[in-house]
Amino acid sequence: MRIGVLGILAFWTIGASPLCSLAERVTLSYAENFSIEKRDTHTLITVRNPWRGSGRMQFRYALAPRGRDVPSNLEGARLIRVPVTRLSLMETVYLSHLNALDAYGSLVGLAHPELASDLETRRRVESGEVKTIPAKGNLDVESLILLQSEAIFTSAMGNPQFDVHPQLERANQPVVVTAEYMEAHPLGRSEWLKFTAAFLGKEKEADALFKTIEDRYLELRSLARNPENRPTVLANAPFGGVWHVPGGRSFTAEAIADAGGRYVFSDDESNGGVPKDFESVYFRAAEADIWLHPGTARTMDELLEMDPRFARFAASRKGGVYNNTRLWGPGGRNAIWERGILHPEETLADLIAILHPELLPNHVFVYYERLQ
Amino acid sequence: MNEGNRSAVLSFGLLATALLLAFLANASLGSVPIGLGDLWSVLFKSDGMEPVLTNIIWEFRMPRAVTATFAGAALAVSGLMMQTVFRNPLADPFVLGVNSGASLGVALVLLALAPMGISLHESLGISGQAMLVMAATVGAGATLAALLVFARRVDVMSLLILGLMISYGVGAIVSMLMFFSMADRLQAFFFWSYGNFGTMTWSQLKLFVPLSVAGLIASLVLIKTLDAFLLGERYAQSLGVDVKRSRFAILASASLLAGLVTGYCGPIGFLGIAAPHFCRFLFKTSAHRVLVPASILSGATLALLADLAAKAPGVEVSFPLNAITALVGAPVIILALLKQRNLRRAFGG
Repeated sequence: MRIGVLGILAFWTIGASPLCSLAERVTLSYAENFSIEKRDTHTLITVRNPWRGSGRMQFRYALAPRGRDVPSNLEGARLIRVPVTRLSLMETVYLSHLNALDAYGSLVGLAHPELASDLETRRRVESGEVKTIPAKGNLDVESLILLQSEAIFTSAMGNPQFDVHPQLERANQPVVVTAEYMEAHPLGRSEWLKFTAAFLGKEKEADALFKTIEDRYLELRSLARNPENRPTVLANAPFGGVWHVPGGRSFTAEAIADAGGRYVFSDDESNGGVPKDFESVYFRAAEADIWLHPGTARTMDELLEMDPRFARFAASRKGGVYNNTRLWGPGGRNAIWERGILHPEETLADLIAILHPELLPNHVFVYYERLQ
Repeated sequence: MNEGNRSAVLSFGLLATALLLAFLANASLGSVPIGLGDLWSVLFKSDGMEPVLTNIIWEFRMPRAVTATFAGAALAVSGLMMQTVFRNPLADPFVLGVNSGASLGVALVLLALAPMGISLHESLGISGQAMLVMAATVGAGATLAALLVFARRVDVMSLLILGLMISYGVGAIVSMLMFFSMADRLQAFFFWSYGNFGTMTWSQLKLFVPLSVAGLIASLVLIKTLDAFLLGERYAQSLGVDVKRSRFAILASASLLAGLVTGYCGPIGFLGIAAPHFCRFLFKTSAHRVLVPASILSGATLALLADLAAKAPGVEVSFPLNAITALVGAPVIILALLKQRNLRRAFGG
């Protein structure tokens, strides 16, 4: 924590010298939805593209070291004192950041703790060190106020019925809207570690860790860059007759391409889910080699009970159906949505082992399992 | 009389042709374009076709078209019977709360049990889709049983109000469940409530088709009783009809049909009102020996056409069926109202 403060102070002194330009931008290699700029008195963080169709909407945060004067020019940003010592989380995905930065001490509140797969967090929720934020149905703003958070991380969907940030802003709470889930590249989502780290004053640790993640990811990707064949891949499963397939520019599509696979809907231009007819997916993907993430099914029997027509896919016949449910826990929690987001290199290794087992002969699956 | 008979025969011929055309159109049009020639060779010449295309027709198109045919017929006849018994042109198959009972069943499974970590899937070995069907059918059945118990005690108006009240009460529980649910669970619930013919498979049709045929046969048997009810319960009684027993039989078969469709395909609105009105408009009669078979044909046709529109041929997406049935159904009702001016006449009032 002290290093973080010193780090910010160091930037502050550099920024104060008249020769230096007004702002110094921290280079982010993959994340597109946030930027970090070092100003004279504070660090300015801008979050863009917070939800689908949010247009030019931005959220800005001025991170100023504790105890200093309020920066004179906040440029409309919300002032947050760093390092944050009382952090509340509306989503469990950031728990992997706390784990990686060893910053459990700053966590005071967590919504939906039943979805947390992080063991230390679960222990802290049970012992009462971390309070549950009642957020089922309606958010209980009062109990959140009692937590006296210095920052509350939440993502938003642009839907007033589900978004909590307007409510929290009205209650004058230090809400921080993130856009991690909107990143298209797996490393982009991982790089949000630097975002959390800026609030916790742990930038150096975050930079070092992200570097090792990135290196490993790129190493794996180059391993699968020129495979002899590119197996075709389909993803997801229909619900109520509608098959939401990942778009051709989505996170999943990106991961499949990086693992040396050919995604059947790679010609699609969107980055979210695309609703398709069951039969049109069947038409395109009947002969696909690999089928990923078939809903909640963990065995072939479960899969075929959902719909016997699934047996018609070549992937089902050839035993090429894999789900990321190996670390699935009760209550629907799954480590792939926490640790797996921070560590795309582990997910990529799993995918490469699925698509090109010869490239990683002794691989032990972390998140994926083959449906038997 | 002779001329009337001839025009009735002609109308039936037209309806049957329309049904056949709608069925063929439904089976051959979809996200993946399949020509009538290909359809013919897949259906009647088994070999030489691409297996993917064959599978699309046999595993996707045919079950869907068959489901739409029977579901449409069932909803139309069910609606006709409800309208006659309640002597109310706006009565639909769901007046007695079948719909809300089914949605309560589904809401309990999707919104209450699953988030609590109770998975019927693991403990009973039932798959997601089959579980929804079961939940909806049990929910519909439970509401019906409650209503039918009352049906023998109170008069028809009280029954209508009771049905409405049960709907409101059950609907309140559902909205309570929805209020406390997370977004992804709600999405699952919404998907169900849009209605869909496309999730049916042959193994489900093995039960769905015989049961709906049984309900339809029951309605054909009840034609005379239904005619008597048109004149009012007291008049029916004077004709020697055991009013309470017949009412029970009519409601039971109408509810079986509506509950069956809701259980398997989700709540599908408007077909049950639109098809009978369309038939009254077409045949200008209130005699059930005409209206029941005509409703079967026109209900099936409307359902096939609505499903075809929902499939949005040529595009890889599909639209919610429920919205389409309302879009198709509402104009039909408006047309029937405007042409007939006085709907009361059709109900013998």
